Amino acid sequence: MIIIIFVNISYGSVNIPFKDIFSSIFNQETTKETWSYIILDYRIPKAVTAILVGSGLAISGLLMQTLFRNPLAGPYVLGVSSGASLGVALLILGASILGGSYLTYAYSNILISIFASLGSFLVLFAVMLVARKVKNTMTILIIGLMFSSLTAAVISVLAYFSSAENLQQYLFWSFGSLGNLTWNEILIFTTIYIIGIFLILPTIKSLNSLILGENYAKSLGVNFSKTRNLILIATSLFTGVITAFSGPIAFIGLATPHITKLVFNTSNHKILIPAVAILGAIIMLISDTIAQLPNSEFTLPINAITSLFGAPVVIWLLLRKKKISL
Amino acid sequence: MKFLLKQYITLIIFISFALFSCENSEIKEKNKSSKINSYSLIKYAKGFDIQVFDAYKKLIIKTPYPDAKNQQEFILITKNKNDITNQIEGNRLIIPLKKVVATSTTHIPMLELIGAENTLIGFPNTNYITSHKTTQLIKNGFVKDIGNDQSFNTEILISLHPDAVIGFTMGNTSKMYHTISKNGVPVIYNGDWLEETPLGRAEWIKFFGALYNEDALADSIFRSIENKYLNAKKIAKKAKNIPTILTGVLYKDKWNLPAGDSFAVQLFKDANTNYLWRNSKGQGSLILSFESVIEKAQKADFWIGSGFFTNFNELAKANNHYAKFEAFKKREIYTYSKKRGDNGGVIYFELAPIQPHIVLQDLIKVTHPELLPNYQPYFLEKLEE
Repeated sequence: MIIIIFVNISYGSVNIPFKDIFSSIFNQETTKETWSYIILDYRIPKAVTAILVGSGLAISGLLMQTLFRNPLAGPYVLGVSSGASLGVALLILGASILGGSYLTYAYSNILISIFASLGSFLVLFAVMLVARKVKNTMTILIIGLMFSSLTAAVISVLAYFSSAENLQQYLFWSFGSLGNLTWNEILIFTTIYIIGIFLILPTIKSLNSLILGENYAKSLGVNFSKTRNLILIATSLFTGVITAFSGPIAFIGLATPHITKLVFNTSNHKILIPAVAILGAIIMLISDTIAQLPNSEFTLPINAITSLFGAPVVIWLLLRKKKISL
Repeated sequence: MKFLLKQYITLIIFISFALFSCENSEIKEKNKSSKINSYSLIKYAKGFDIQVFDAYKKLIIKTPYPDAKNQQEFILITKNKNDITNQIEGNRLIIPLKKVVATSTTHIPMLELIGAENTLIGFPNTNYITSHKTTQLIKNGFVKDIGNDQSFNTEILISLHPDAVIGFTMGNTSKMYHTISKNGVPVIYNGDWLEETPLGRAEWIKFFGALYNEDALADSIFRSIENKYLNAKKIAKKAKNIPTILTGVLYKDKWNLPAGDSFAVQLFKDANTNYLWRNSKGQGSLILSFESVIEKAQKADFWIGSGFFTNFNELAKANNHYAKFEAFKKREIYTYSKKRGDNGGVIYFELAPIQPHIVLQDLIKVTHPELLPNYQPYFLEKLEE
């Protein structure tokens, strides 16, 4: 992983010699002043973001898949990602309907983050309310899907009525990106991330028994509703903050757990959780390195890369194993 | 602005009087010998042409949309000649048009210069329009808002029974325009935005001249713009130093800049400045990574066009990478977005295509202030603190 982080930092549109990469990391003079700025204030924050985003989404995916005992579950499916998107759409697109069409520049990252988190919490809250009444996890999954199409519909209605410049801004956000965070924002990101991790820690043991089913877990003395609520809160925290800071990023949450299980061949969450976190981070870093198209001035949307290179990998792995494991 | 319009109108009247008689005889003469007259020959615009025949004109839209395979042709006939030209095949339009729906704010000043703003009966999202004259017409209910600029309310549009819709489209796939023309309303695509040169864009005034049978007027307006533009370009050539230029802003971590063959870049070139991506190919925009932009333009002398940002504070707050640029430190950032119409539309978007000479003079004043000592820039303003 350290090698991959280094590769990620070393390659970008601007060709910077290894010597200068080292000297900028260790605070020494670089041949060009812009180089140390690019490394310290652009590439390293981007790499840290990639690690947080990749591991956070992968953990959320794993938790969802175990909780719902469904290999298709993930933050996307539960509607939490869509909730975050709805929050951002309301902020960016809603403003033009309310007449603030030329206030677009005011949408700082922080404001977008707040709205995205609010959106994902709102959807999650709705899902949790339903979860209290409905005991069947399959039903919750379907309801999550319905929420996701509902928010998508609201977004398209908003898009219809909003001005072209706001629509463009929303579209750029929805492409996803990793390289727009300051160190301060990364600090906020990391704090929320750590809170999420702490929420998961007490559930690890229960997760292993949950794989065998709700009833089996209960018979083993697992406090099911407490575990479920903790997992839901943690997932929404991860998804909310990730979607807020880097846009909706597809594929990682769904696919990483499958890849990890195929590689490690275990269903013990004590191993799986750190493993998906590391694998998620690695996949994200590699995708970002590809997206930067080293040595060319152009970059691709990160979302396109994660799906383009990730989906075939999953299909290949699944076909090889011919059986989807939980 | 008022001053400018007045200036135009006096010029127009003067020139059209001077030209009218000679042009008239010219038309008659040429019509005798050959069918095509050359007086309205298009000089810079690549997207359209006007051919003058004995009893009618032909308006040819060569590139109605990017990469178009087919062109559009319209037979323009005045009412009294309608019977004589019955045998001519093609899409016929009776000119001057009496009722039109326009779709881009760039159409508005051109209609006004031709004196045809009263024929405008519909426009999508009228809030974008900044012109005072047309805004008054909207307020008084003469111009109907036909909805979203991406998808009009076709029912309202068709019920207005316009003589024509002056549209613009990204490609042939627009269902909306198909529906409109299926319902008997001719759609004429205006491709002014596809022109590569500033004078090519301004020349689309002749498109409106043809539709309103005001060709001579349009021609004289264009000639005056052309003269002023070429004159400014000549002045810019005298500059001794050639400053480097950065433009655009980040969208997330991607920097949006005009590509080398675009309208904006032609202006930078004519202002005798060194736009750092002048050699890139294409008419649209470049989407570049932040690091390649800072590598190339960290020391750029001027940053011209900073999106919707109008002060340094907002810019630094939106992304602290911006403050790393020399142009930011030296406070040499300029924007076109400060001048707004009553409803918040950016005036530059509406007027720049028909006033390229002013855009050029603005650029010269900012980058080579010694060349235009008494000039006050109109569109381009420095960001506030």
